Amino acid sequence: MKTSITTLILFLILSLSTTVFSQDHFLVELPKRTPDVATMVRSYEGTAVIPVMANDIEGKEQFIGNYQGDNLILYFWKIGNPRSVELLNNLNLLKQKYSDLNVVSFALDSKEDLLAFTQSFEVNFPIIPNAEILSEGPYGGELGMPKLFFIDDKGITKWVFPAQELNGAMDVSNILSILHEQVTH
Amino acid sequence: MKFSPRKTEILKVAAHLFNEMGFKAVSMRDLASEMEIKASSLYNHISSKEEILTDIILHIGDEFTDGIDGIIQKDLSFVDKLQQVIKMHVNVVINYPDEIGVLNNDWKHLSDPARTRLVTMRSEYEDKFRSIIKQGIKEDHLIDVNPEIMLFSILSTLRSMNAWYLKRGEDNIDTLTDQVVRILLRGVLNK
Repeated sequence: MKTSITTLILFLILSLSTTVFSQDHFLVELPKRTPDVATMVRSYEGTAVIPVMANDIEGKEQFIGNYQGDNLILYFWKIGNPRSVELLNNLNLLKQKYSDLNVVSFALDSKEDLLAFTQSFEVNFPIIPNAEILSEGPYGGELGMPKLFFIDDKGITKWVFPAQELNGAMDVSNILSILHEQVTH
Repeated sequence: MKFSPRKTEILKVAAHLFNEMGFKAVSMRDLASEMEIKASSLYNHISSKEEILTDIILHIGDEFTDGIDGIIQKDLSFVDKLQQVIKMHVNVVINYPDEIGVLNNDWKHLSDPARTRLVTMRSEYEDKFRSIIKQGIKEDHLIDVNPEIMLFSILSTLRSMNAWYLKRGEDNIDTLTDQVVRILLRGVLNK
């Protein structure tokens, strides 16, 4: 009987102290925050490129690590996004102008939709389809669409362009051209 | 600012989420989930969360600017103009309570050139409002007090009305508008 009462008292003390302990530690609810674009851009710049291996729409294997030694642009885009398509032409021209500059693009669309799209719109660099998970996760969902990562010849992310900075396609093309010359000379 | 029906819907849902949780707390995924679509589908209509914020806020700015410009051009007495401006402001608040919340709380997250445009719009709106008040005082239609205090008192009430409206609401919009106009123009004393 005495043991039972002692056990009961101990149980009550333990329950009470657990409640107090819990209240002390769970009173503060941390506000949910999504990192702003500037913070996200800073978090990528100066870091090694995330190695990705995937098949492009022509079925060729693309491995980002293979581009080390050359400057590389990773371009995220979507067919239905007008600004994305506007920039494709400029990236085509940029690729023609600089033979040591590579562009690999990641589209949020399916392989079938992209194959149909490229029938009427020439894209002279690889397109990796179904890149949603990559775009929303490792390559920063909150950066918007389109977005562009400039990787130097050592595989380091040199500059990141979120959607809000990719307004005028010609301006962006000029900027990329200057940046490319800056890192190669 | 004219948007497609789908974009208008996205802006409406986004304004509600931004007003409830704050611009910084809402992710594109939250918005897509609220609209029951994939996040990538949003990009057919918008490019980024910043673009959404800009469109929401500048659209409201345009509503106020167009509203006050239309009233100023009318051939009315200054008191009638003041009355109509207050009514117009209340109507914008009632039609866009979440958007007004976003304007009040999240405008600081705008980047240039949108931020500068908003600040200019706001300043011009206040200038026009102020000139109506000053003219009303000059012509002896309004009591002779500091026009800045009068402007501040009226705008402070109008700017924060959205929070009250979202919480308490008012079924009869005309009654609400008339009562706000009456209180702001004639005061609360039973004369």
